[in-house]
Amino acid sequence: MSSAFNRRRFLDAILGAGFISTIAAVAYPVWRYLIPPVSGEPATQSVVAAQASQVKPNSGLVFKFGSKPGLLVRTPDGELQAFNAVCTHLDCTVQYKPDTSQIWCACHNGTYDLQGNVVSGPPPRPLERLVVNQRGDEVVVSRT
Amino acid sequence: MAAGTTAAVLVLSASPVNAQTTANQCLVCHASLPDAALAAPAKAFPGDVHQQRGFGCVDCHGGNAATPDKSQAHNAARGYRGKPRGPQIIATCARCHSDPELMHKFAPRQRVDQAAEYASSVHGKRLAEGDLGVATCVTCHGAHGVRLVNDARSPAFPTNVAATCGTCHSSAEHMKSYKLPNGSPLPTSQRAEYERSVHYAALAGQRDMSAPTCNDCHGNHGAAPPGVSSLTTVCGTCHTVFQTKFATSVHAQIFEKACIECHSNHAVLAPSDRMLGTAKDTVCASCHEDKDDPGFVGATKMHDSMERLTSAVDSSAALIARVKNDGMEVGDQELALNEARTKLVLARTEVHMFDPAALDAIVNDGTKILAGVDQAGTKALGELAYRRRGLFVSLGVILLVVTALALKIKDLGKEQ
Repeated sequence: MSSAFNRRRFLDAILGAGFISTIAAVAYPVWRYLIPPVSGEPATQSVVAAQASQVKPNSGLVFKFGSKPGLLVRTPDGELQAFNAVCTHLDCTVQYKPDTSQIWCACHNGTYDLQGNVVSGPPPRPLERLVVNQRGDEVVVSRT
Repeated sequence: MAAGTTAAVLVLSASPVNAQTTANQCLVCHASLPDAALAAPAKAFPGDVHQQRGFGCVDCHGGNAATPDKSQAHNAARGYRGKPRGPQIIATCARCHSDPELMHKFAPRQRVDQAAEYASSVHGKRLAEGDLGVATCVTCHGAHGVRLVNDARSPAFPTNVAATCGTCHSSAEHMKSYKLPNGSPLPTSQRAEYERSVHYAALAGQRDMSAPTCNDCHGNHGAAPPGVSSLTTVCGTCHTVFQTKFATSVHAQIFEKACIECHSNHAVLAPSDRMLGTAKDTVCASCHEDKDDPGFVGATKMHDSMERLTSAVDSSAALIARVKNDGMEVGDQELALNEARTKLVLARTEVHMFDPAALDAIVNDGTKILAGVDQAGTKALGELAYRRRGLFVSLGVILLVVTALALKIKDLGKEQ
């Protein structure tokens, strides 16, 4: 009698611990799902910005690079360049200005050259340059 | 002809080659003098930019540096001039600094029109009238410890300019004899006001050397107050877009002091949307008090427009941040939010046209973008709530099964 009672208590303990573990294993992911940790979105590393044939010489194209705008420029010489299109002054979206072959911010008249360097106006830093590669007709823009 | 010969002799005497050939007895003697005023120049000169380029005491003071005998060293026959004062200082510096050929040897990029500019300045004009209390070259650059302007120790280095100008212009005692053209006393609060400004914060706080200090608006060698008619041009040197917008506005014809009517001159504070409108603390209200005044109506409209866009941007940004934190993909909405923020910056620029309709057009573009962002954000929240409901239902089912399983096992145990 005493032996059977001990075995039952032992099994109950094993089952109880297993049950609690199962509950914890289910509850923890649920808890993490309901209250997720504050974390930034991983930065986009690479996107297909455009078809190369779409971008004519001396023109620019704004494309989505993660949650930020990117600017793809084909210089008058036919070279493709890409930049983070966020002005380093007050975060306005910059655009390509074909008449001066420069990158221009309409907000405060900041201008950048085709290497992203500040030419004039209030921007304190150059534009972030992105890497351009061609895969067939696709223009692949990446951060590194 | 005589003047030309004199200039040639002076330039030859300024040659650093002559000064290097023998020991500088001026320094030896003056450094040991008990009178601090006479000893200080000898102690300061070794770090001087002129000394580093081979110039000596005699190049400015004349005399003979090769002898320890005072009577020979201070011999007028050897061109000894003593301490230059007033116009003599300008002439002494200009001998080299207005000579393009000489300056080309030492600083090819340096301008050589400083003396001409100085003559056009308020300082230069008053000096020409005999006022020896005005600033000359040495007042701003120093006399015996002169540093290059791009040397942070120079009194003319951008971060030191306000203090340098303030030496005289902040001194009520020094400025008491000077009056404005209308006869009122010249203020001495400029430096204190400037040090409260956004320009000073950028220059001294953020070490932004492109931020303006006194000489960027007043000129340096040609220092003079900007005339009323050129105020927008002076501010527009950096703030080009605002100058262009303002020039088309109705205020361009009305404001006597252009930009500074709203932004002040020396105490240019960080602009804010709160400046706009008809509340008591707004700048518009200082002129537009009457509710029937078109300016009052326009200011109210512009304030409301800006308020509409700023609150919409804040609200949408909060929504998207919440949705993003809940794990939903909002890349497109963040992109649109950036675009709306660009419209907000553009709207703040457009305010300087003082045209409520033009401002409203930009604000409407922004709010239209934000309406799309809000719609997508709300939809994402709905999707999130749906997923959570599904999760709770499935969780309930799992718990039910586990409980049933436990009871079943218990029953089985009893049967055995």
